[in-house]
Amino acid sequence: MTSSNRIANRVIIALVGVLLLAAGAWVLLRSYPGVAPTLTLPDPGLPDATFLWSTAAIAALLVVASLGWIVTRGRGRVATLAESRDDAGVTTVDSRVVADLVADALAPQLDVVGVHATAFQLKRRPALELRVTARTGADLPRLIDAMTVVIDDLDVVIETTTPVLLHVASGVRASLAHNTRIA
Amino acid sequence: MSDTRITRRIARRSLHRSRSAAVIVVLCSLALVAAWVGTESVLAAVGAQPLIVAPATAVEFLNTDGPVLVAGAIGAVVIGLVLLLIALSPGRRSRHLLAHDRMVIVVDDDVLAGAVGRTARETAAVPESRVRTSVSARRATISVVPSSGIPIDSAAVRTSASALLERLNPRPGVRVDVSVSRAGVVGS
Repeated sequence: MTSSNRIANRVIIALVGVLLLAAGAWVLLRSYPGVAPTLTLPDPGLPDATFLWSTAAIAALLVVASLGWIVTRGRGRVATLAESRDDAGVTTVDSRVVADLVADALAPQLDVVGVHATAFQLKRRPALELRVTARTGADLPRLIDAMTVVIDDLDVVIETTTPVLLHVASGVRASLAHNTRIA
Repeated sequence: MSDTRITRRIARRSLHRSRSAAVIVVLCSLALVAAWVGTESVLAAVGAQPLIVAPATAVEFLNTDGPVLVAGAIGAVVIGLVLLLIALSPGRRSRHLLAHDRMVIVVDDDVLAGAVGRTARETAAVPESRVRTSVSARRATISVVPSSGIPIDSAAVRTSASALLERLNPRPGVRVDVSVSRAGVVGS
C-alpha cells in the first residue's frame, strides 16, 4: 500500500493518451481533408529560432516533470507503526517487531507460508499492512480467527487501535509446497 | 478522517490497481522522446549537426503524404486509445474483500478458491485432485470428478460452499456453481 495519488496517475495517462490521439488524428486529417472539410488545421511551417528554443524549453520541462513524478511513486511506507510519549520517554513500535509477533502467533498454523508487515501512512495516520502468504486450500476462517486474536493482542500491547489491512495472498511457491505429513 | 472512511479507502486501494506502473512506463517514454526532441531543437538552434533528424526535415516530413506517416499516425491513435482505456478502466484486481469488524481483509481469488474447494472436497469426500475450483468477480465454479459408481450430492456441495461464503461474506458477492462431471474416474 502506498500513498500514491492514483487519480493523478490516471489523469496523466489520460492526458498523454489524448495528446497522442490528437496528434495522430491531426496528421490523418491533413492527409485526408475530405473526412472533415470544415476543420481548419494549423500549418506547422518551417521552424525558426524562437520555435526551436521554445520547443527545447518545453521538452526540458517535460523531462524534469516526468522524472519528478516517477520518483514520487511508491512512497508512503514508514518504519514505525506507533509512537507514544510519556514522562519516561518515547516508545516506538517498529513494523518488523509487528511482523515477528504475527509470525510467532501464526507459527502453529500449517496453512501460512510467510508473513510480511509494513507500516504505512494514509492521510497522515499510520496503518498496518500484513501480507500473509497462505498455502493452497488454506482454512480461511481459522486463519482469520487466529489473526483476530493477534491483532487484539497487538492493540493491547501498543495501546492504540491502528487500521489494519490483512492481505491473504496466494504464492506460487505456496501452491507447490507440500503439507508436512506426520506418519 | 473517520475510521470508516479510512477503512473504505484502504479497501478500495487494495482492490484496484494504482496505475503507477503504467504511468512510469508512459512517463519514461515521454521523457525519452522529449529529451530527443529537445536535443535536436537545441542542436538546430545553434546550427550544429542533428543527432538523428533535424527539426526542419521532420516538419517537412509531416507535410508530406507518405504511407509511413499515415502508419505512424494510425499507431499514435491506437496507442492513444489504449492509454485512455487504461486511464479510465477501474483496474480491478483478482481479489475480494471479506467482512470483519476490526480489520480490512482482502484475499486473493486463488486463496478464496482454495478455501471453497477444500470445503467442497470434504463434503464430496473425494481426493483433492478431483475438485477444481475457480473464483471470478462474482462466481465460484466448482467442478467435481466423481469416482466411478459413487454419486456426488451436488446440492450438498453447493450448500456447504455457500455456507462458507456466507460466513466469509466476500464483496463483491460470490455465487456458487457446482458441476459434477458425467464421466467418473475408476478407483479412489
